[in-house]
Amino acid sequence: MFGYNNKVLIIDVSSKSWEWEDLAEDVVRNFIGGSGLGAYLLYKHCPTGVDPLSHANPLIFCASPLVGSRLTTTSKFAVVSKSPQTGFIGDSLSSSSIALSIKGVGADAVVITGASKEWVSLVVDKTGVKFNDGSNLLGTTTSVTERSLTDTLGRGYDTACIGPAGENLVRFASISNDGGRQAGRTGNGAVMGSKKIKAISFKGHTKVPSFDEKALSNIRIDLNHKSLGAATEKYRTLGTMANLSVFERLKILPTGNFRNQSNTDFQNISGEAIHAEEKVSTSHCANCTIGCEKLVTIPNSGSKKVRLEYQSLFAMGPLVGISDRETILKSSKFCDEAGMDTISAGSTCAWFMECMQKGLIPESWLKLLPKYDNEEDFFAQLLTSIAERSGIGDILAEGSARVSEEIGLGSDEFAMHVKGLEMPGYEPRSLKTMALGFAITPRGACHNRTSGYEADLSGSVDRFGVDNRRSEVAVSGEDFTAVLDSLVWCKFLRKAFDDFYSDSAEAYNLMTGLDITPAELKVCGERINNLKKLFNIREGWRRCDDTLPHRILNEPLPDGVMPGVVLSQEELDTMVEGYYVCRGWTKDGLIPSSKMCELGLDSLLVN
Amino acid sequence: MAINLTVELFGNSRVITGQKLINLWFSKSEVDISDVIQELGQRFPMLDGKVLDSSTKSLLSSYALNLNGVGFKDAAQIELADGDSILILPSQAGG
Repeated sequence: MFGYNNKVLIIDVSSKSWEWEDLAEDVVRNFIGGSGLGAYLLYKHCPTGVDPLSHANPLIFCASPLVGSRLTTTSKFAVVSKSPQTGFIGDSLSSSSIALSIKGVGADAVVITGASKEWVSLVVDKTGVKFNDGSNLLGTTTSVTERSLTDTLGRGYDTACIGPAGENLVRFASISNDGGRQAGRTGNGAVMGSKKIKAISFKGHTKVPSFDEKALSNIRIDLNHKSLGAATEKYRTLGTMANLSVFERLKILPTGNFRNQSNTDFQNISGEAIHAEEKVSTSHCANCTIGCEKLVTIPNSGSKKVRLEYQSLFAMGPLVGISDRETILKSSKFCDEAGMDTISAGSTCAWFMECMQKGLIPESWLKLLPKYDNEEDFFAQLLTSIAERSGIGDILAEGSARVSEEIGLGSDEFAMHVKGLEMPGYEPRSLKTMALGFAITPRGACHNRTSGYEADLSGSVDRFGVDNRRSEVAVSGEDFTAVLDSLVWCKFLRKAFDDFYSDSAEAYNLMTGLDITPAELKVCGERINNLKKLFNIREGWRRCDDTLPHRILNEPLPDGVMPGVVLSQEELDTMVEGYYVCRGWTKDGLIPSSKMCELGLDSLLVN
Repeated sequence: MAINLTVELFGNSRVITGQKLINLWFSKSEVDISDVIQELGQRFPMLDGKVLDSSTKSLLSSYALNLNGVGFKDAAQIELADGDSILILPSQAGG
């Protein structure tokens, strides 16, 4: 096949050995690449019931057929493992040059199994896999690690690494690449740390040929043009931080651990204010025309810059009730350098701060608290202690779900997570389609996998109401996203297509020489989502896991454009059960054998 | 009867104009969105081609309308009343 290397590189860090495995055509036809192929490889390589932080949990890097096509936004890859936060599938996307290098070493995916006894820094190039000593890099931040390896290895190597948080097995540690881009969610950095892999560097030496380069070139020109149009205007101008002022006005900006009772004015940290008052520059991923990344120079820090986007702005600010811009920028930068997911870090701190306000902290833990001058200082010190696993941070590094279970005293009722993954910055009580998306997505509270906010914020549904259409919207959004994340296109390009499935099938076929139809591609999305669910069922998923935090289901929104709006358990159940019906699953959310056969999962998973 | 309206600008529309809120006053009893867009275009010509199309009196597709922070509606569906707030915000919801 064109477009693929047709190979998976399997690395065993226990024995310091590697081998190449063939990637069959029927696998890529059914699971494409990126997060879809990653889900397939996880199902295949992850033994049932393993501890996510044990040697047996595979860590998988997946490129995709469009990597190397030079089509805009396609230099992306997925990182997949069993999540140490949820115990279910953990998949996360990142982007830029390293995607090209992964494919350039001759692999469509790299599966890392086992665990090293000593810290290693892996190097993959045309000579094979080297298991270099990684101990000299211990304790270094993500940017220092990356720079150090560039200096040592020379030009052409691209590195993915963990920071101190990953080394210390913080359950929400991220993996960093290409100067601070993050595979941020679900704790893949902790999985990498559990294998004692500080970094993995790739240097490509081959280029995968496309089936029809000339025709692909025409698509490239067309998409480049569309990517600079109205469909991406927000991302190109202010970036996603433009969300903050809009969300505050619509009262969908969660504040104070989703209590939404804050009287704080967050206009000071709006995207518009930051652009007007700070030095902001734009950065692009490799082969991307959009340039959504906004690098903000942090005041009073020399010339340090932070790659700022809405979710970090939210999690380091309103979520913890902080509106001081400098604190937020520094905290966001700290998380990137320590290699921690800002959403889970912020949410765990927000939960802990509420526990303190309510006097729920056990006596024995109080002596573990850092000394601090004010709320901003306290938050900064909490983040540091988590990354270092020192003092109270050693406890909080387990995430809000686990720690709230340990404390008890009702604190689990305001631990804002689903399946163990903390919630991003969308208020589900007044975004009902998003609420359903949070509840049912296999990786936990995730806004990206259904993009339910899109329906709520476009007027195609009543964002305050509950009706049967939500289920269809969630299914269709989830399948769409599975294809998007498997080819892989950037989400910010999604509105630029004339017809997503037709345009994607055309690009895929020109790259690979296959003859997949738009309808078949759509079924791939359904198949991938069923596979993710199947993995979760195998790992112990229960119907009660598809839910939302107690606070969301029991506390009405206190103010805003619709004060008193609620999302009841009954409303959520109606939407979730409707979703199962739309998926063709049983009323308990299980996948019937007829659906498995229909999607070919019964035979595809045999081998 | 006159109508007072507030237009709230978000995203690049706020950056371009340097304005968060704009108060509009119409000396007639029935006002629709095209009247609002026309007035905005006259006051802030720099919005033309970037946020709105003054020739069609409509927003560009990169922007959406919201009435009073509640519902998202197409321009034709919006019935304006005295005291209403019209939000002009980016139509791309993600991030």
